[in-house]
Amino acid sequence: MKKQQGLSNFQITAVVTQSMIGLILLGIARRAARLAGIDGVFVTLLTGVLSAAIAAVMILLCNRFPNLTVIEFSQEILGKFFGRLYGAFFVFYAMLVTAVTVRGFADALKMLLLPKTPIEFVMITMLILCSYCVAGGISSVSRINEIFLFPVIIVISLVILMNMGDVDLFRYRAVFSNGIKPILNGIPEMSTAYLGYEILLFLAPVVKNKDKMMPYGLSGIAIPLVLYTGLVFVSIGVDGALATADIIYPTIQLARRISLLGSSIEKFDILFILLWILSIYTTLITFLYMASISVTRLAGLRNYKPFIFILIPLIYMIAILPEDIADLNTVVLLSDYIGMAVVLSCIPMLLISIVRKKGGKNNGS
Amino acid sequence: MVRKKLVLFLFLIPSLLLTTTSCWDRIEIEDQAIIIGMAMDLAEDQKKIVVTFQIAQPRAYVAESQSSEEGYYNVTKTAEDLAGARNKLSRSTNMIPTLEQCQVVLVGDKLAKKGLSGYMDFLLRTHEARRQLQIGVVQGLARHMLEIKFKSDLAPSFVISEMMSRDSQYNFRMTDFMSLEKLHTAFVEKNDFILPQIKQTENGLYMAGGAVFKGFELVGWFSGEEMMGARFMRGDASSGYLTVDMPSSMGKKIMLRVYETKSDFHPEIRDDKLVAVLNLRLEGDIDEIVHPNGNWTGKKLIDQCSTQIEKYVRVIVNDAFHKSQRVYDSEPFRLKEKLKCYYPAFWKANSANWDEIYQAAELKANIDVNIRRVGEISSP
Amino acid sequence: MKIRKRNKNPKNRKSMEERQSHTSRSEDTVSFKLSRDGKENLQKFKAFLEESSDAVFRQFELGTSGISCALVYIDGLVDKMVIQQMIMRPMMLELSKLEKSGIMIGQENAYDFVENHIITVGEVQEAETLDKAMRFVMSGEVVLILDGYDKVLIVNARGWPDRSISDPDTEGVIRGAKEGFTETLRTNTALLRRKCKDPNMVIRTIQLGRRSKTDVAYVYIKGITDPGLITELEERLSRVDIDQIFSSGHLEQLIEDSSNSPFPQMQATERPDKTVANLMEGRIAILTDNSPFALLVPATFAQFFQSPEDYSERWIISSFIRALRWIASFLAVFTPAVYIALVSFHSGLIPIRLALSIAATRSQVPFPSIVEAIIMETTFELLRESGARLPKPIGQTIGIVGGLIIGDAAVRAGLTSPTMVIVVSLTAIASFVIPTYSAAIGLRIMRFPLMLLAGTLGLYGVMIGFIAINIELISMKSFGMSYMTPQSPLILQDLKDFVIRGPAKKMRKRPVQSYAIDMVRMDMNERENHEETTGIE
Repeated sequence: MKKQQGLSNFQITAVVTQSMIGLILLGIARRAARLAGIDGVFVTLLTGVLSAAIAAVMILLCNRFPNLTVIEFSQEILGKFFGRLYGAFFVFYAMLVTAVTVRGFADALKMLLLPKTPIEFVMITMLILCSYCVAGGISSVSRINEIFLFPVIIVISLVILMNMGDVDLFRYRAVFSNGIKPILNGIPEMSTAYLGYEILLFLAPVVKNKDKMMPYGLSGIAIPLVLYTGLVFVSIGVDGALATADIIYPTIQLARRISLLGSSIEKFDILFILLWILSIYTTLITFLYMASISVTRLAGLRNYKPFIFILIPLIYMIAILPEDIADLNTVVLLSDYIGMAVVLSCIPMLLISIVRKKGGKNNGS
Repeated sequence: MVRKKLVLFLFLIPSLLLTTTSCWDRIEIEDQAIIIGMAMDLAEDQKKIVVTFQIAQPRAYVAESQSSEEGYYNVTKTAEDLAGARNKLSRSTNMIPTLEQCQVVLVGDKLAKKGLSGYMDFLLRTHEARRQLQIGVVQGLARHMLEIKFKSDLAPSFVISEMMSRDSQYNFRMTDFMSLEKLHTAFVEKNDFILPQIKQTENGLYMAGGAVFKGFELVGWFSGEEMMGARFMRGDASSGYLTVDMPSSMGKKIMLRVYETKSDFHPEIRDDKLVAVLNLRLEGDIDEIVHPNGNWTGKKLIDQCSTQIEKYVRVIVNDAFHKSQRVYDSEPFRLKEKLKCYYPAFWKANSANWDEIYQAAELKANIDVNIRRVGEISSP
Repeated sequence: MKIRKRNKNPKNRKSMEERQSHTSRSEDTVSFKLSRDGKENLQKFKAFLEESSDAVFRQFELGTSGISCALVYIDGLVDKMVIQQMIMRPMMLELSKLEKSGIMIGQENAYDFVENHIITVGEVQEAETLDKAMRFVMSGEVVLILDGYDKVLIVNARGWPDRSISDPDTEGVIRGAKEGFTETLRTNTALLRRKCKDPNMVIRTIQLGRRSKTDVAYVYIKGITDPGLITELEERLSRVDIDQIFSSGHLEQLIEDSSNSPFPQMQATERPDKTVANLMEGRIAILTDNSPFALLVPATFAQFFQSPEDYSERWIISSFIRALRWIASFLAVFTPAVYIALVSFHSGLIPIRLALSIAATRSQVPFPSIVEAIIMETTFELLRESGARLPKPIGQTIGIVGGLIIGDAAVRAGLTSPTMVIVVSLTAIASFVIPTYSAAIGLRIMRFPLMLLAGTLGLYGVMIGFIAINIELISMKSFGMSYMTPQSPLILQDLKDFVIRGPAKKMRKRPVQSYAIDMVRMDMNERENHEETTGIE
């Protein structure tokens, strides 16, 4: 019986895109406007391209070790001790991101949909639902990512396209009025919005066509690039940079302006939030998978399923730590910095692996 | 199988919670006091505001009801601000008020003159407000508007909000839709704006012209004609009627039905002076000619007509511009917004002197009126 | 009677033969090998069958040779004309004619002579053991015992009362053959042969069920079907260790991948044309004796939305109808939950006039909307079940009575609101649109947990339910093929037949999902030639 041995090409793209589109979707325009005003569009675009470049480096690194996850090949590159330290970082990072995402999601949900429901309940149900999927293995995770990809893309595109007509193009006459500097200064902080493609480091062993990881992985980054740039363009074009920087969830604001069927369906923002729940869910399952498999491989074991249930309570405890939105922002900042460190570390890792002649054609494992 | 059993067990915990506690957010629709309109007036003591909530009465909306009940009732509360008034409302009735279906917010002119700044914050911050929420200024006491009885039996909130949102698309004299987001943008960027103006007459209400704001305070009114000029400059006019006086050789009055408006209003800096340039193009058909003379399909007559109408439009545009420039010292035409974008360097250098620059600004208007058709008859 | 689940322990797995030869206590004393003494053999048969009144033992002599013979058969299962005209007559009468012309029948050549010259029946077999012969007797064949031989001749004289071929009533179509399977295996296989004359269509038969010894046939087309699939099926069938196979549905549960899921993992159909179409796509059909339903493996979720009628009509219209079915499935599952979520949690989403009229009608109802919804849905399920049990004319009336009058009366009594009645009716109608009954039930059941979730967490609860259903669906496998193909490993080529129904001319290849070996359905060269010659300008 021919069985599908691993992720198909499309699933690679789906996993990367869905892991990137998460909490930041609601607030991307705000960040862009805050960083560079009207030039926020260019910050978004450039940062996307830059992230694609870093991801390309990451894929090159992974291709040198076709059957190993990052936990294992980091031990090859850096030696047992530092490699394990590096791997431990992944565990902590993935758990932190999961906790922060589920908490941010629960906060937004409480504000927009369910004001009185206790936040703990929302988080517990979401975490349990995630464990249900991750317990089915990487094939379940990638399939869910795949199935939810089209609805998410379609809804975001709808929001962008239906607001295009209201964009005040005159605002864009002022681009580059402050020079290139603000754009360049904005790139570091914006690049944390594009985080999520770290999952590529774990996909090499389970992908069907390893040589297709580069084109399909990069298309996985191209999709959020286009969508985020579109959202920023439309948000700033319609409301102006100052106002966009003032609104906490500008994407919801954009969604509110849409009314379908000749104003019969008015509160489109609620429908948008429901689809946003899907994209949050896909991000969560990917990072939960990352956390469980990291722990398992660090311990040298193969079956990661029991670890899921050990990690969930720990993640929950991290998630309830922040007390208010300011605390949460601090924790988010922390996870963003660690994330940037993780992705940027691929460059030195690649260099070291070339220098030390680990992996690749010489050392095909 | 182990994982399935474990997950099922984990599902058991929330389901136990489900059965023991109640559903936290469940508010049945019939338990809600659905606020469909609000009116805010300044109280006698000048410090508090009087808020009138128009709440829908669902019983009147059942398809086959025999009751002749009104579809709404009004409740008035006095408080420091809108949020306080709402809390007072929730304390005085068993229904839970919700603003999710609120169609319109009317502000009395005295309150508008005092300034809207403190009072709009609640509306902008709550997530309940709809995008279609209209805001209008009433000459007089706003709550009187909510008490008008319309022949169509609809609640005043519905009538007023529909007039504001829909009818402004077919009429030049009414202000275009001003939604909460646009208000928010105006607040944040410190722009001036125009809100719809409502007057009460013996038979009902009359909505034409606008209320001109500088910052958050009402500084004056635009008449219907001035509003037309303002809309052409703001660029949000789409279709409407122009009634123009003609010299007697061409009849006394002509009504042009404009169905397409293309307006390009932008600032230019010439010799360090601000010049507001308006390129306006109107296309329409002649709808009515009062006391006409002559054959109206002839080209000469139509051209003369266009020239007259262009003159008229130029006059009203200039009127609106100069009135707001000189009398009100307010710039509600989005000129400042555009100046920031068209000449960012100039703005950076001179933003502190905006008032002077604006006072010294000139208006250059190029009006082009195309009359396409003359209706179904060519001569009377 | 205990139903034992399939045996998971490989050490205990016995062959089918071994297990089926295990008999109960009273027959332990009789040895199975037949002896040369005809009377002794007859006695062995009588030991089993004497107590049954429908077992017939007929002794006679072979012509004038004096060799005694006996027939053993079950009355009711055999065609008596065959026995009388083609077995007994030639053996008793015509043999004498032959003997008159000089051919001598003796003890040595009697058996061969009988087999080759006398019995004018198409199918004959031999049996040397009692249990094998007994199986044939119980299946409706006739055992011919010849004195002096330790083997018996099995003559096919099957003929029992059978339902005539009629319109399958669970899968009616407007334009299509009105033939449906019956309860006899041989008739069903004949129907399949009629639709596909390819000799590569192989029909293999086994017997399952220790006591019932039900004939089960599996059919596939050699060269199209993946051999791995056949092996997998044979392995699963061999693991079935049970007293009786009730029906094809019972067999389905014994060999399917996961019994805990509410969704069916095999298609069941009464239509031979649908069966053959699926065989052409590389599937295997399993026919069970005494059941008019054929099982088709493997199955995917999308197939439950297809009906054979789709292929007989124009493709644009069929695509529209198929899209309608997908919408209907969403409605059938989510409508009550979304209603509860909107009315109780997010009333701002409902357009204002509708919201007010709902508020007005609901103010007379004493229950919160979730309780109202559960009461109405449960009542409707009761109505539907009762309608299915009652004889047809009364069943229809109950539907109309229940729907109109009871619903109306409930509204007037203040037990429910008219909006709820509309919601329930819409859900019911939508669930009837789905062509496959078993999938429709699965989806219907999903409504109830979704309603509970919606009643607790509003639209967020509905989303949780949606995600959970998706997880369940994508992790299901049907005989090694994932259930949600072609959505979930996204196979673009197969999308032609998924929501829409692609034009027949474009269906050149078999669906990738079937892992078929021979992927080409239509010869491309032929089609191009055809198009060139028939183009008229």
